[in-house]
Amino acid sequence: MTKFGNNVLYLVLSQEYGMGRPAMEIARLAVSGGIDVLQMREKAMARAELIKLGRDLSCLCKDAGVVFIVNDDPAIALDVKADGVHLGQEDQRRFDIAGTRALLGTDKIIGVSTHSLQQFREANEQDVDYIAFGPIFPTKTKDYCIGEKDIEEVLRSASKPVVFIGGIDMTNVDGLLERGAGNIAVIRAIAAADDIRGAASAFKAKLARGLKMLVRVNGKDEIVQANKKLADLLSDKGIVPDHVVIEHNLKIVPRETWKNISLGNNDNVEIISFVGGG
Amino acid sequence: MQDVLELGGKKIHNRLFVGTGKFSSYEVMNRALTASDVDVVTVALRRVDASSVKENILEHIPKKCVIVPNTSGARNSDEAVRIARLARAAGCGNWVKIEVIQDNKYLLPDNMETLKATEILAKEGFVVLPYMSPDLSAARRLVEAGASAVMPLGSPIGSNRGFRTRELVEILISEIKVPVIVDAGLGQPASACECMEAGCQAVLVNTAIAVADDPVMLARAFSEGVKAGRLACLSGMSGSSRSANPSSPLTGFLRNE
Repeated sequence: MTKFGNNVLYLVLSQEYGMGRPAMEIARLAVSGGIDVLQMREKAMARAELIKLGRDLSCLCKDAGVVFIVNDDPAIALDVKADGVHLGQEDQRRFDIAGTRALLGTDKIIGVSTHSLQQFREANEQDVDYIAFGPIFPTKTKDYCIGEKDIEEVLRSASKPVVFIGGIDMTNVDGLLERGAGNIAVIRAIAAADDIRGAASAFKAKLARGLKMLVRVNGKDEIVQANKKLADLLSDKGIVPDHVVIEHNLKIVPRETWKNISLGNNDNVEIISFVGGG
Repeated sequence: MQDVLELGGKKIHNRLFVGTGKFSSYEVMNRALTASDVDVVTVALRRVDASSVKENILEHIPKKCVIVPNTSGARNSDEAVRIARLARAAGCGNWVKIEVIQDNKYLLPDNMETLKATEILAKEGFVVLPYMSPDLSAARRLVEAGASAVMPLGSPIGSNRGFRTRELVEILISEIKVPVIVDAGLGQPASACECMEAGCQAVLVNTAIAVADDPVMLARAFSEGVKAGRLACLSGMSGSSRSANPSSPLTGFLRNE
């Protein structure tokens, strides 16, 4: 969680979707628009070219405080001083997680693609720092999509940040945010936009405004506004705070602190009071 | 002579403890507790249901009462400890009645898990009152673990079957140094009286009182029954025998030798 935050806008960069603009130009505009993570995913480039682009992107991202991830190849990630590597399901056959971790060390980020609940669950048990889940919507990049039905289950059981990906654009991103998704990855919606910088900042604004998260209150999952204060959760529910005790992530929290405690994704809240009993 | 029960650093005059479950309203409960002049009451903890009534039970319990939260709903020691800590955080003192139950048919307590919870909570400074099956070894271990009393059941919770465990509880009374308080199953004032006669230090009653047509009147009856039994216990009653012992002089009267 420390290496890869929540509520991030993640751009997967492929020059082929950039309407003829070079990768570096797309990246520069997207970074200035406020993306949080940039992944270099240039399937058509030769290795030497990749390393050169990787070094330039790495510098650009470092200066802007953007996380830089290299697709597919841990060695290139290391070479260009990226923050981490992203492995697809196929890549994992060539570079297994343990080997990649040994090569990169514990400070670097390892992310993986998952395309089913089963793959997600496997990844959730592995030594990775985030999990991409999709394609959620139909997309030209893939010839299938897995739909939205597992979003809640994924968010509920995730022990690391989940990045939703696949066909996400300005028309459908709200629905995802409403359901508790915090991290959004896009390709075309930014790279193919006329105004790349404007598209990135529009996404960013939506993420910031519509941010929702999943919390478990008295054993039931609820979607609430991100960073909601504990005291506000109570008043939303019309619960009178007197003689209520609150346990937040298994820790009893004193009444005076309720107005200061912000809820996080997947937090567990128990609101308890006295009733008759023998 | 002032006969008070000292428990958890408090002086308790009324040896009838009352549970607050199942009353038709908090108002009726309040009148029953007041009419019987109760000193110790138990309560439970539950998740707040935002859609239900937001009345606070504590406001309907007389101020002088010691409130003893129970850990009902706990299926193991960890859950019991968690509930006890929540109860203490609610600011109603440090007493707790440990209740660990996995058996839904008879609601019989799990002495082993109860012991584990007692060890932990007594170390944390709780006044621990464990609900238990009347087993001498378990009771001894509970006392070693720091229990302030032991609370063997009279018969299954809510069954109104009375003091069925008498033989075993009498062993606890003679061997255990902390107060023995019979909890559960006492359906009639006579059963409560019987417990007290046998030497229990107190009894806890809930269902019988709460579901009576007139809980206020029955609470008073239980309170009187407990007092009668306590007095009898202190009086040094003589034992019983199969044959008669005349209570009038047997010298001949109006009869020819």
